[in-house]
Amino acid sequence: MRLGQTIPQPLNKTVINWLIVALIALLYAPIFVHWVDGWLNKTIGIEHEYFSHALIGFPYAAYLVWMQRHKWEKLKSDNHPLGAVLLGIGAAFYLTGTATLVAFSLPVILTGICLWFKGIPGLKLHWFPLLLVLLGTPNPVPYLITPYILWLQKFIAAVAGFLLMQFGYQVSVDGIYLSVNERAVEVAPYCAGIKMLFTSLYVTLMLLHWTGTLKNYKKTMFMMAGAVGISVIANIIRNTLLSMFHGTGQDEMFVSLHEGTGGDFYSIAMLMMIVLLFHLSPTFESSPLINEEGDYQKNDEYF
Amino acid sequence: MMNIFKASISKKSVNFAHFCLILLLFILIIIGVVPGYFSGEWAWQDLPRISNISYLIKLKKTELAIPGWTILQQQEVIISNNQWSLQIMSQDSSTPVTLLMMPQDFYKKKPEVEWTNLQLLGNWQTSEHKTIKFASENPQEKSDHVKAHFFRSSMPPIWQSLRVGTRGRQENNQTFAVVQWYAWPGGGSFVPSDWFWRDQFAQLNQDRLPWVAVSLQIPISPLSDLKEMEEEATKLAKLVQTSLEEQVFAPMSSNN
Repeated sequence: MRLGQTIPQPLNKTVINWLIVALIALLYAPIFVHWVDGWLNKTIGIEHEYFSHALIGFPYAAYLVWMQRHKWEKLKSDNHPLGAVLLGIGAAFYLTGTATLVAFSLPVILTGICLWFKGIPGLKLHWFPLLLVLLGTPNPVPYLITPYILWLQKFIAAVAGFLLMQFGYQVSVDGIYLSVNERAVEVAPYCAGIKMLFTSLYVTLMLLHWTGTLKNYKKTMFMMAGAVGISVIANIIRNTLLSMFHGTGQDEMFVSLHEGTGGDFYSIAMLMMIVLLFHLSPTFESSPLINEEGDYQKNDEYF
Repeated sequence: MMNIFKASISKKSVNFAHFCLILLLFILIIIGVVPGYFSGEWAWQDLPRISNISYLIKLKKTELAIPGWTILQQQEVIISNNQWSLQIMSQDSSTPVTLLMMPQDFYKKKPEVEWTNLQLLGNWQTSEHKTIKFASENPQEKSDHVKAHFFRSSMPPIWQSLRVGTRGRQENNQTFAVVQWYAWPGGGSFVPSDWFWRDQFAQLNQDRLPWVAVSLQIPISPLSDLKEMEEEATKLAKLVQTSLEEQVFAPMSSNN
């Protein structure tokens, strides 16, 4: 190269980055529209409902990535070969056209992009948004576990039956069938509260991240266990109420709680309980922290 | 001079990574998405339909001929909001055997809790669980086989369980050897996820894997050894699978 000859300038990096974002948006826009329609209008199926928490999880993940974009820029460029592999696999999944694989291509391609540009440090920076995407992507897990939760259905029917007996109702429990005044309710696999369990854990994860609590291992474990407990108890109470409504002929209340707005309010109330648990429970930190920058951080008494 | 050279290389490698990704995304868009934007439809929007599902629906109300067996009775029954075919048949006037079948009658329907539904209906007390393997009489490929669940069950005969008010009455209980599996063209398994992965695989070719839940209930003496029954049960199960393949699955795939 002779002196004086200009070196070809790379295209403006910002333009290229936005181009990539636009292409990904073009690829997944029809899928997102389909999913959101399915979640809002319940048009796809009951197993799709299990992932409706993605409605808040995906925007939050996008927000996190956006907030960390300067840290991303500062990372050294590192084209990890695993990134190329994941991109190839994700592309193959996308081209199959089956709902399961196309859905799964999303977290695979996003992870591949992180590795392809910034290597393992890139993955470490964005592990949480990627996890949110992975746990919010519709997949067949709810279907695959249905044959294995009979014990949970029986447990819920038994406890709900016991509670109703304490309140003086004429109750009989037979396996997963709970009868009040001779009118039976079946605690089906999809009534066993697995959906609310998934959603509770997901929301708890988001809450812990948002408040910076994930580093606190004890509190994190406590909250996850607490979310499981609250979700199971809330589901038992819900099945108790449903049996009572059905047994006493209050069919509108039954429908409202089962598949209507009553049920939605009930779920929101349950999630509020988790937030309450978070704020009322101890912080589980016994000693002062030294945070990442090496500064002494005073122990918080209140969260 | 060297600094400029190094700078241009590093800028090139940054561009190379971006270039590769953009190229990949373009290819994906052109092959995977653009056709969809034009037609307004995408492959993943809905499950492919089952061609000739009418054969499966018809199975609920018609007899399934089993060579060497006389069908005494066949009717459609309702178990847990699902329609099953209940067929009672016997061989040379021996004790009648019950054949319960639930075909996939809707393209979105998947094997799920059929075994639980049967078990709860009759309050089955089961024991001696085993897995048996067999293939139909004319396997298409060497690997075609059925993985069925074989066990002993103390329960009332199915027609008694279907009558309201007889649940839990142990005096109605008889002993049966039960064979259960989800049958599909070329094979079967009693585990729903086995069907699921094969169906996913078929979907790669825009195809589906139709299925029929089969429960075979053979009366046995309460004192008999289940192992003695295994050969006989397997033989009958093999006949049922073959009949399903010849009379239901084969016509479904040939009439395209």
